[in-house]
Amino acid sequence: MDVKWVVLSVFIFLFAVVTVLGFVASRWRRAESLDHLDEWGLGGRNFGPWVSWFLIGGDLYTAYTFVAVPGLLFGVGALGFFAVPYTILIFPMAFIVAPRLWSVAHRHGYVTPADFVRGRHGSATLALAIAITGIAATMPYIALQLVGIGAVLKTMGIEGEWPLVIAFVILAAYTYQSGLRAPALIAFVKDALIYIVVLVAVIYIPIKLGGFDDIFAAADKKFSGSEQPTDGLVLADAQILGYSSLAFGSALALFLYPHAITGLLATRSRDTIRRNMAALPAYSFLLGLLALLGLMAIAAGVEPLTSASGTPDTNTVVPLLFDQMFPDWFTGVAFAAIGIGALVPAAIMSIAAANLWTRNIYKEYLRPNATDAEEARMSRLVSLIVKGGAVAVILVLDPQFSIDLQLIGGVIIVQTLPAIVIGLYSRAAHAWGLLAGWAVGLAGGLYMLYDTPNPVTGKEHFGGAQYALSNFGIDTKVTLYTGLIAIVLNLIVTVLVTAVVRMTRGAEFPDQTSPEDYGVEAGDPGVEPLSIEGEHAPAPTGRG
Amino acid sequence: MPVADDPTRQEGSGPPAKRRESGRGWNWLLVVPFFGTFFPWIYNTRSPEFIGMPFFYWYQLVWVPISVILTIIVYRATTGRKP
Repeated sequence: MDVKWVVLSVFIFLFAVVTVLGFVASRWRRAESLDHLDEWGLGGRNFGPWVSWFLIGGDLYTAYTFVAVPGLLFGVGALGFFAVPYTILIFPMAFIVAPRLWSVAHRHGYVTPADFVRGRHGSATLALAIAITGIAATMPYIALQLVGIGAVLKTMGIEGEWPLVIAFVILAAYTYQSGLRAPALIAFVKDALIYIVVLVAVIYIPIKLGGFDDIFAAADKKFSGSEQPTDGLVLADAQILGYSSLAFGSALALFLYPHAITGLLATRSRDTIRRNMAALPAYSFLLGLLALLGLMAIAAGVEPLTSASGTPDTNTVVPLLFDQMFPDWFTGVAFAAIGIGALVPAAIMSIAAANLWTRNIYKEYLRPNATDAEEARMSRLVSLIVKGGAVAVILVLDPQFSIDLQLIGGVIIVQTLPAIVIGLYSRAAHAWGLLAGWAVGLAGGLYMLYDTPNPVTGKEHFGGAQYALSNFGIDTKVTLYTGLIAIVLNLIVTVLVTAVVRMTRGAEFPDQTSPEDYGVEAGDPGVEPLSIEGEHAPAPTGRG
Repeated sequence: MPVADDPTRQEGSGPPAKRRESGRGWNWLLVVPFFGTFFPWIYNTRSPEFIGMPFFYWYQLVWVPISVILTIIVYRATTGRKP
């Protein structure tokens, strides 16, 4: 395929603009120094409602959204639309739960979800489990962002892996330099581009294709002509439970991801979070419209490019559709939107993973006397390593399975729900119960994923995150989202082991938090910059 | 709106500042989107169509603004005045 020079020029220009922004961001709302994790890793914990809306939106609606969800609709139809109920279910839940996490984290200076687990449940081992889970779930998610950029590069006719590597080296450099301020500033550009592109796409493309009637008719023709039982304009009966359990389970998982929690804790106040949970669904509507691009691609006769293994790569469907429909310069804008849409979350994810390493492994086990400056330096270094790891993942694995990688990550991360969410409300679950539940949920979840073949791609294992209930001896074709089955296992074990520990009068661990901590707002006593157990010097002034 | 700038609450002694969130019963409104979207049996059909879009698609899209409105109502109802 020839290189498309106009498209590429526009893409490189916009990419250069955000690169400059990324470096300049270190001076934005500048703190006296970045030698504290609150500054580098949480942007000073001082983002107001507007910045947070862009930051969290840029964080949650990733390249996965723009490329993989329409790709799924292109491939199987209705099932791919799960992304819409998924994002509808998230925000009402987060509206209730997330402010409690904000309050307790600010009262005690927690930077990561594992910090909270450590303080609340009193067990460094449990916190380690939560931290490792977070890192393991985030790595493939970062890799997924690379898939988004890769799909765009491929469509522009650029072969080879080196452009991807260059893009990530640049990203790594300004994340190292500016910390969370970089993605926060770039998120403005990202969202502006995305909104323009999507609005133009969902108005212009249907008109060009003869309206939604023709689009859905073409999709219907494709699905009814195919052999697969899993595709169609509406769900097959056996898919219905799988659809809603996937939406619900994914919604449970989303705000447990370390990068989502990083976005939450970087806000200035409880009220900022509550406002944002009402305002963020604006993106969900966008996502729904975007998803329909997959069906429009069918009507437009798009043929996906093939991946290295020779199978069609549905991630290229949206870039190809843009390329076919738009004039070259606007295709460049659209591709830049996807590419930059991958950079923002990738930056936040690598920061979140690095913070987990630094706070809950390095400082807890390797260097308990690390100073604030050492912590910040360690996190910055590790953010580089994390990105290197993600590039390695993508070079080794077939990017075709990007959406499965994300689903596996979801199955893993949702196992931290009992320790975090139950912990935010009560100490009824014992740390050992939570640890046992986590272990069983994780093992069960991974086994079920291993045990899931994918007849369409011919894979025997890790073929998706829908587990057939017939595996349990039930005579049915119904499938359920693996993560939801695993979390039920997790909860059962948590309850049982907790009961055993309490009956045998096992050791109770100290709780660092008190009930008032969960409702405090910025400006309340004790919610000015504080530190865990007073072991740090007070953070630099100039905040709050 | 920048709550942290409210000077009246900076003084640290005495009981914790008055809770600015109240009326928790309103939170039950947030359960509504769950019932609207969690049961695909309700909406897993093609008709009625709207501008050529099967019911399955436009029904779920409609729930986005509904959930926004509900969340805003709950936000307003549970956010008291600053003390």
